[in-house]
Amino acid sequence: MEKSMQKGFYLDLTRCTSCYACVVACKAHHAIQEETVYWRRVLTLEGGAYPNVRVANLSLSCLHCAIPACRVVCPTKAIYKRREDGLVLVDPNFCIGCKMCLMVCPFGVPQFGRNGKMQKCNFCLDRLENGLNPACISICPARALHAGSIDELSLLAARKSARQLIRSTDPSFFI
Amino acid sequence: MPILKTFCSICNPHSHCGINARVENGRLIEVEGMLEHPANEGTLCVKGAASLQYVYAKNRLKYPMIQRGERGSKNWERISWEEALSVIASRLIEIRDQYGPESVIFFAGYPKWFRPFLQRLAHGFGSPNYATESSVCSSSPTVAGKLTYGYFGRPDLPKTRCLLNWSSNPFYTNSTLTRSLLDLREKGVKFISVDPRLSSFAEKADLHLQLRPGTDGALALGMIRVLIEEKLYDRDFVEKWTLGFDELVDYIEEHPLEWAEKMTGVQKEKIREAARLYGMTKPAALMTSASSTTHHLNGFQNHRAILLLPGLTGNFDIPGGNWVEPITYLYTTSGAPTNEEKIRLVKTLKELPPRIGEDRFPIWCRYYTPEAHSMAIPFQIKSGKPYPLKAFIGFGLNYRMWPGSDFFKESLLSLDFLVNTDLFFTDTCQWMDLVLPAATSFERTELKHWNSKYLMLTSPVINPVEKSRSDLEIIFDMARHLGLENLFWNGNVDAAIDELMAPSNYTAEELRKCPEGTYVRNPLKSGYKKYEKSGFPTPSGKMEITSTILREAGFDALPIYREPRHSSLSKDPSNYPLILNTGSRLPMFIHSEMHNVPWCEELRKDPLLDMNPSDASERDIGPDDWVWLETPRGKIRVKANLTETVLPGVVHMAHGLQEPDVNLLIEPDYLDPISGFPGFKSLRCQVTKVD
Repeated sequence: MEKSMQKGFYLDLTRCTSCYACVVACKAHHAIQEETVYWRRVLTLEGGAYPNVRVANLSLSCLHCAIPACRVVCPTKAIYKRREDGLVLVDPNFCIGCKMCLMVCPFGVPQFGRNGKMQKCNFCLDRLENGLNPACISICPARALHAGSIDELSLLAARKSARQLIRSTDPSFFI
Repeated sequence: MPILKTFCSICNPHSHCGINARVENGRLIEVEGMLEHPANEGTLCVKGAASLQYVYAKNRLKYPMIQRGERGSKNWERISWEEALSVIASRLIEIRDQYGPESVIFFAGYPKWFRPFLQRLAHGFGSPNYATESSVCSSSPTVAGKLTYGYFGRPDLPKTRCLLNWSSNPFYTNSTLTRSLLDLREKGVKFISVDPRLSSFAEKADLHLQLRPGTDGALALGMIRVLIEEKLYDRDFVEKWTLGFDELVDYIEEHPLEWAEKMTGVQKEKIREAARLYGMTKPAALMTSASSTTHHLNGFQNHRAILLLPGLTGNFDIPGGNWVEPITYLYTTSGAPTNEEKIRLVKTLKELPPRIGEDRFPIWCRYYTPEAHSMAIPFQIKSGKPYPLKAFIGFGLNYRMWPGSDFFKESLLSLDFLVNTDLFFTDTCQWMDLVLPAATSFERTELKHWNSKYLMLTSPVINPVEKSRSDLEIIFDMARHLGLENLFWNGNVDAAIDELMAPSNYTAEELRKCPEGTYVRNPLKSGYKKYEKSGFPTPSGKMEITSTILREAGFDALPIYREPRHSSLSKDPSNYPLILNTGSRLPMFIHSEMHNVPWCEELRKDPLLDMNPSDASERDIGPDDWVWLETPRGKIRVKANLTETVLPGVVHMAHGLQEPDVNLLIEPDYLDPISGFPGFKSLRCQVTKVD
């Protein structure tokens, strides 16, 4: 796969409002009823102290890294990268629930529900097949969250001086 | 799989989002925002996203039920609609014969879509006592606008260059505005936020004035002082169109910016900067909230002081300022005129006995729509004066809405007959004699007008869950049982819609042909500076800085600033050193709604008290510690949520929870003497760690 084909997300920090619409759109689309399982989360981070306080609203899911640490450590090769678009996916038939992936993921992405198998954002594969954006993108009332190929995202992000996040796993995430 | 068109009506009428509903075998499978809808353009908020769990919530009321035995005994028996409505009609007629029709209260909570018809039912029955939750929501700002200008206008967002947002967080209350607001900001429109919290809106503003709760009036007067001192006001407008400017000047001359700083806690330099930014950027618009400025004992006058700003700066009824558009239906300005008022009022007020609250809050009662004042209900129940109350017919009643909710519940339980219609078996329902199951917007026909000049008349996309029914059908059927079918188009809802929409030449049949909705053809053109033609619709024909109506009623004519009764500046024994502010909006709930929906509820599971870490450390309170939140009226057990986004000295508790209920901590008669609004947002309290 060419690097430019890699799919990922761009979060426009100037627009996110911590409204949680993406979180519930994700749970609703994937029919996740378990209270502790989140494929997408919203974090509201605070820095400083009154009266000089800064707040950042962060919507985060799997960042579909170019070099996913989770895949490297997965003992059963249940985690794989899709050839055509670089999405990081997990085959529950092979997952043994060892949680090695959770230990190495820099972003705490892997989730474990009652069945004990790893689950996480799959970029709404079913929607992707129909040419639709992931549910979290379509719902976003702020139009703060974007999905696309690295090329598309870097163009969008450049307008707001946002950049690709730099980590050893090379996340497909602009912020 | 077919995609059916409807809309979500969980929140307030200024939002409401078009919905694409996927339905399989009669069951709702998935909801998405409707792309072609001008309000939401394909997006939804967190609440709408949870529609599936809302519609199919575990505690949906499934059928009409009657409580056999004592109230609260949980001895419920399922009955048919016919039986339920017969029981209701016979009890109401009995009560009417014995005590008069005015002894029956008809009440509407959320949602608001059936209100005109419920008021019609009340008046048709002979009772003036149609009351709503607006008695604690948008009505005080509405009356403040009427007294000052005769009417008021929302911010004309597309054309403004500066937005002064006074204590609203539209990102959480009107999510349909989110995109356009963020776009304005990107275009360089200046945002000023007045908010005791660093909200998600305030955090994006150019200037944030983080004031002590309840001091909005002092802040507005401080800004006005700068506008006058620096000659940033519109002298032509003031000369021609205002009443009482000299009195205002006298007042602010005695109140320097140092005073405003001392009252509000906002540095005087910041007040000056805000006044300059708002006064010098043209045009500038003021955005206010339905209730956050008016939930204080001095809230009505505070709000009036804020409302002076657009007039003084020449921003009233101009493009990009506060533009007055006529309300066409249910609080919205769709541009399609309706017969709403004609449908609401089948009798003139003179033909009816006085409404509840007319004696205590005469200005509110005279200048708001002809409703009874909900906050006065428990006191009239207790006193029986000027006449006794006997029955309460609720639609979406939540007794915890009242300050001193235990007091309201107790007075409610002393009535002879209690009915509530609701989607869910709430804890209020448990105390009723009879409950009726309502249907959601997915299960009913509903007419909706949008500010974006858009209309929809929906058809149900799924059958009503179990035996639930549309509120409108329930009202029509109740009318039939009361012998009022003539007033209710003999049960024909479409005929009612035809009559409602007649002034804009739409029929139900025509609207149904566009299930995705339609732009209003030839929407009403409002024009600007309408006062130039016929003056302001106030007693003086001018913008009343000093209100003739208030003066005549013995209140301050000028919106001068006074501390609330329980002022945090007072010197009385300081057992309650903190300010308690309740009711700030969270994105996942609206009032008591959505707490029963797991996808929303799990996002904020515990009863969290937002407090500044400095207040916490003084009390040896750590993050997530359980604490007592205490006022002179009582205490509740909540969990500390330490955040720098709230002011030191101020704690914030969400409302709408069944348990713990923060409204237990407020005195039932802690009410603004003009508007009757409770002082929900500036109480005094103490917080201590639970041992």
